[in-house]
Amino acid sequence: MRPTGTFMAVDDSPLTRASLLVQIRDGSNHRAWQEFVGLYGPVVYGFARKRGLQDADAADLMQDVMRSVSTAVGRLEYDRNQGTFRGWLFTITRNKIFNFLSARRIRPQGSGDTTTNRLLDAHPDASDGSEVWELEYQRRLAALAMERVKGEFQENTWRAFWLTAVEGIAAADAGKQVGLSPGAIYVAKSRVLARLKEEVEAMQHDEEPSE
Amino acid sequence: MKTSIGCLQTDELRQMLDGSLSGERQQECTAHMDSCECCQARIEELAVEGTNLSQVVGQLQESQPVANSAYWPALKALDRSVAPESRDSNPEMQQTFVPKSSPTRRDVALDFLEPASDSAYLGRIAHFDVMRVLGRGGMGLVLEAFDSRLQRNVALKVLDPDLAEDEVARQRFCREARAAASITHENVVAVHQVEKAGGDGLPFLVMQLIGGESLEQRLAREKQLSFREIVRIGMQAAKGLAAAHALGMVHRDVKPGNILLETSEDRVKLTDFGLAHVAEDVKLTRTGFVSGTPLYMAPEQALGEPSDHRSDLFSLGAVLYEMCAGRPPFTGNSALAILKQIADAKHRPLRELNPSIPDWFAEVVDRLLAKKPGDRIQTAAQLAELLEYEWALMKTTSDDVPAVCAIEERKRTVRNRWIAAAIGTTFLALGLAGGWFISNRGPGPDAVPGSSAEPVAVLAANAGAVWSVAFDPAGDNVVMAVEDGSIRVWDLPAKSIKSTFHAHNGVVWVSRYSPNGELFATAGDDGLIKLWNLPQADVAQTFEHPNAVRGLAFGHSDRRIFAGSRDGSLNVWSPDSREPLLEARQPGAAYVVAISPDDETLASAGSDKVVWLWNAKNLTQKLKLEGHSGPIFSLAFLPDGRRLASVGWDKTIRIWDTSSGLLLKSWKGHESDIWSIACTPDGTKLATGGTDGAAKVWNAETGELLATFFGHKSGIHTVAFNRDGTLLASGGRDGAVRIWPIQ
Repeated sequence: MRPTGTFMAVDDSPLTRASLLVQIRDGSNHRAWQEFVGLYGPVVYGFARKRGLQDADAADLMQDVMRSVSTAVGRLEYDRNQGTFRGWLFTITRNKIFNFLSARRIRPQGSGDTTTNRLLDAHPDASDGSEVWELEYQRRLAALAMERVKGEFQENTWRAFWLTAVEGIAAADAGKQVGLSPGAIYVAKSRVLARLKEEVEAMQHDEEPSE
Repeated sequence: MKTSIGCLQTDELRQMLDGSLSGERQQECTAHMDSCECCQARIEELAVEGTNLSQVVGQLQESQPVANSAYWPALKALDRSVAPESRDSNPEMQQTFVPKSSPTRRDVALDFLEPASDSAYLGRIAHFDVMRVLGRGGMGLVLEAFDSRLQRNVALKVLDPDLAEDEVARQRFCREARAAASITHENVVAVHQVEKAGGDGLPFLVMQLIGGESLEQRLAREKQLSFREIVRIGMQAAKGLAAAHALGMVHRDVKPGNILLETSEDRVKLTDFGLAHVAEDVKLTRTGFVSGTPLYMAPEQALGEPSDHRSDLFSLGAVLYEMCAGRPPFTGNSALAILKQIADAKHRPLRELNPSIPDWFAEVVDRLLAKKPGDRIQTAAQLAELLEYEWALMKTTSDDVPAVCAIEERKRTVRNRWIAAAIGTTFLALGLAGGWFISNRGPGPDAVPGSSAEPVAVLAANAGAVWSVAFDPAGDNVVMAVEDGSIRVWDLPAKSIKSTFHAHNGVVWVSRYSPNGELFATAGDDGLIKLWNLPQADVAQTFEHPNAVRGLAFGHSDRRIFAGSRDGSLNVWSPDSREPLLEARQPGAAYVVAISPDDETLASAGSDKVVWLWNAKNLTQKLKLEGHSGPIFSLAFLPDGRRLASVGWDKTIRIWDTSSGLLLKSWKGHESDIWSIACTPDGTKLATGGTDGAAKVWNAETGELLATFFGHKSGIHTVAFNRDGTLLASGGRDGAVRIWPIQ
């Protein structure tokens, strides 16, 4: 375990939890802020969608959460010892979704009411949401990792991976599109996966150095 | 010719992954993989090494924002509003502009927009990047847009392109809009400017963007508003109308859809002044019919007779009626039927539909709905005044004014004396019979969560309102500053008065112990600050000030005394000198001062709604913390010194970062003015007291409400924690100090 204080000074990876937070805290680093929203915005949005929110509501919620972060971020130093940043963000997101759904329930809106009640009842205290949240986060990390490693592969290797692993197309069909045998497709897919795994782990380590 | 080989060894599979297998063997193995499902699965398993990466990647596109998702405009909006330059200027403002939910509508014709410079926007008009459609009315479209010149989000009201073809309509639109732009009032949506797309193109209004909903939306989801809320909305709408009428503007289309309820400030804002007229005229001349709903139209408007500002009062009356009754006063199956009703029929008495509405209010609505303009309440200002008066009574009767007085006040305002007498007698009888009057208004102690605790002591029988209370840091005494100029020292364990001494001529505003308990200071309306030797109550030092001293604070490690006065002057004193060490002045009156734990920063606040931070060493100004919408009554530094809490008239509790000046958190704390805030020595909890008579304890970190203590019969002026944060003292207008246990 590295002490967070020195770690942030040395590592200038924008994904580094500590350095990214330090950068967005001083309020003047717009790039860091964009980086931050780029990492966590889709996580919040995706989680909200998974909780049953419509596209527009989930987008509004994402804005709302990020605004809260931007105003509260100066206080983060205090929070750091109380848990991971991701956990903190999860709490904010979960609470806002719960409030959103509760507000819906109190104010019936036509037929949407039943759905909302169902959504609320299905997650009475939302404690089970952490797994979904975690999964959303991993997806986001995977997506970012893919952007980073894509350039390392030949185009047909990457396509083989993309078609089979992401789009779920059968290896035989993918093979026809890319011009590789099914076996080669499997090898290509697995090679990319192995590289992705490495990258995700590195990012994850940067992101939560204390874990 | 392929040779069939057996399943691959794990090592070989690994080598295939990292490409270290020889070319020939690689080909053989790859060929084997063509058909061997077992090896296909194993190589993938090896690649991800027991992680769920395959699953994660497989679901990558699930729930992610698609290309036309509202996510992208939201991201853009976020990026703009949280951009450093705008974020620093006013973090609070940034939070209000997004309506609660308004999905982008794709069914609206937006072909008048130029192509967007960025795909995140729907399009562009003049120098405005349009983010989404907020709504559409009879007159045109309302859009949310980013003003790329002034770098702010605004609402655009675009005249319906169909109407814009009519030259008369265009001219009128621009004229009315310019007139509307001249109204500056907190209850009217500000019109920033009138623009034309591309010089001579489509005219549109640039307006303040309000976060919230219209009264129409509110009524749609919440059929019955509380009476207090109805009066508040009516009062503020009347104020907005009064401001417009004073400039000779008539609204002509007061209706729930044009009354906006701002979420963040509890503020009501009128919009669309004079604009109904534009659309109306064009459609009338084309079709002979007025389109849209005439539900709130005044009889003279319905009959096509000349209308004036009193028509707006009729419409507002109809809105008030709907808020109480759940439906407008005149309804019908067709516009014509409604118009006929408005012209001829008497509305059904309000109290038949909602018996809980007080007579005085039903009477006000009746008068507004009078058929002849001359029979109505004549001006919006009168109406606003009347409603404000009643509203203030509702705000205070439950605690500040004894029941009998409240009835006397009521008598004066109700026009119909006979009814007034009847109400008076009824209330008087009930009031005398057993306090019904008090116990039946507002949420009582039982209705509020977390109000279970009983005070451990009630130190009553003080000779007037208590304005300040302090725990002796070294002992068991509780000291209170009383309105009659006296200081009372109570022995807490014995619950008895230890001593009473006269301290000031006039109110004693504040009393403070120095942190080590060695000094005790009081400040009064007579402009004096006195240092006392306790318990003998000898004056050790007196500092003179030309004006009432409201705020007082002791340095934590030095012996300096910081004071703030009603004239806005700030002074630093030493116990050893009668001359101030330092002087400065803030705008308006100073009601409170606070000194940071490291004695580096002095905070002062008062009537100018701003918290001022000063370098305590030389009283040079450090930062301005702006955000409160009314006077600030109390401040408390948190022990970390980085955070400062402030409260006041606007009912909110705000936590500021004192190094950056950013607002960290703010939330509504009480139903009415908050007079006092205190922090526990460990910084985990905040306590507040307000004119609603409640003392509340909050988690200082999250703002979560931990406890609410009821017991005071009227407003609380002061709250203070004891030295270990286990007890909270609250004192107020009822002359009592209550000591509450803190969990």
